[in-house]
Order: sequence, then structure tokens, then C-alpha cells
Amino acid sequence: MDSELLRQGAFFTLASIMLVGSAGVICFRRPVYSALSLLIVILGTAAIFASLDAHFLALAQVMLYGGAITVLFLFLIMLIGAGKERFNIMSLFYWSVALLLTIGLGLMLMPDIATLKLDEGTSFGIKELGNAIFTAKSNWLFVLEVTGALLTASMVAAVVLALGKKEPTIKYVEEKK
Amino acid sequence: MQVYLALSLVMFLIGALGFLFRKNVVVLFMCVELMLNAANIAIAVFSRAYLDVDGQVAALFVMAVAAAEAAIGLAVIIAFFRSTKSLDSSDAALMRR
Repeated sequence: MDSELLRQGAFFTLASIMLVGSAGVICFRRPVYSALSLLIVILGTAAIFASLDAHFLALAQVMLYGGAITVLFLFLIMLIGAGKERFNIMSLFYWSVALLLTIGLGLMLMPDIATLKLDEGTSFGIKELGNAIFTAKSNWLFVLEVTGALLTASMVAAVVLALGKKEPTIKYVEEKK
Repeated sequence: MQVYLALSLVMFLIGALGFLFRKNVVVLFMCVELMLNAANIAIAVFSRAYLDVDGQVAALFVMAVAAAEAAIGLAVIIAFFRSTKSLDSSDAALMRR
């Protein structure tokens, strides 16, 4: 069996699954189904990363997106309910504007993609990635620190936002009496 | 390699289309994640094509920022739901009145 042919067949199968999944994200009425379609797309993306020999990216994709973000979505849907969406497919006007905008964006990007000449090459493992991020002469050290600060700040912000307004404590109520 | 980029483009367009016409804020957020994923695929493809490890590092940072964004975004959705009792983005019209 020709391995190139096999590779292409695998890619096109994967790509069609991912496209159907991403169409499912925006077409399902119930957010739970959308979240599960998103999970399909995320796992497909991980497989695409693996086929690009970006093995650590594939791993991080499964753990971060598949393991954390999708579960976060499902928890959110579980907590506040799916919510009835006034779907009404909106007006034809909105649809045509949306389609026009997306097709325009596609046409804008299409020439760039068509003229690209890309070569196959060697891959980078987790060792090269670690060297690129963590060693002293790396360009990414500052970005790494800033990302750490961003994650901490976002955690604090999420807690503050989710707490909402503070209820008056029992002690305070008793004092008022 | 160009088929990978085409897949990334189509995924991004589907995400953008969904962001433009859906109303449920949770689904809007999923569309954003879809677009981030599509962009990540493109970054990984370029990293592979130009044999530059920096592309993969950039994709990793995109993932980290997406995680932070998911945490804040979902908290915002909860706050929005608490104040409006709905998940419809057209109910977020406080500034218009």
C-alpha cells in the first residue's frame, strides 16, 4: 500500500469528520449537542497535529481542550441550563450578510493559500519545544512569564465574577436588628 | 500541505458564520473556540512547512490564552445569566436603552 495515498485518505476522512463536526457546532439547537460536536472537532484537530508531527501539540490539545475546556462548557450548561434559544433562523437579510462576510474573508485569504509553496520536512519533538521555551537564550521567556501572570489574573477574575454580589453576612444582619 | 490550510480556512469560516448568526452566548463562545482551533492548525502547518519550532511554541501559547479566556468568558456568561435570567445575546442591550 502506498503510504502517501494512505496519508491522504486519512487526512480527507479526518477533514470531513471535522467539517461535519464544526457544522454541527453551529447548527444544533441544543448547546449540549454543540459541545459534543466541538469535542469531535477538538479531537480531530489533535489528530491533525499528530499528522503534522507536532506530537506535543496533539497531547496538549487533548488535555487542554478535550479535557478541560469541553468539560467546562458541559459544566456550564449543566449549571445554568441549556436555555431556550429564540432561533427563528433570523431573517434572510442577516443570513445573507453573514454569508457575504464569510465568503469575502475566504476570497481574501484564498490567493495567499493558493500561491504558497510548502515543503515536507523533519519534525520537532518535545525536546526541541522545551529548548525553545525554557532555555536562557530563548525568545519566549518573557512571553512565558506574562502568560503565567495572565493565567493567575484570569483565575482571580473568574472567581470574582462568579461570586457576584456579596450577600450581607448574618452578623451584619443581626447588628442591624 | 495546502489542503491543511484549506481545512483551517473552512473551519474558521464556519466558526465566524456561527458567531454571526447564533444567539445563544454559550454557542457563541464555542464558535470562538472553533476559530482559535482553526488558527492553531494554520500555525502548526506553517511551523512544519518552514521547519521552525517557534510556530509550535506560538500554538502552545495560543492554547494557554484560550484556557484563560475560557475561564473568564464562562464566568462572564454566569454573571450575564444572573442579571438577565437568559442566555440570549440580544438581551444584552442594557447600554442601548
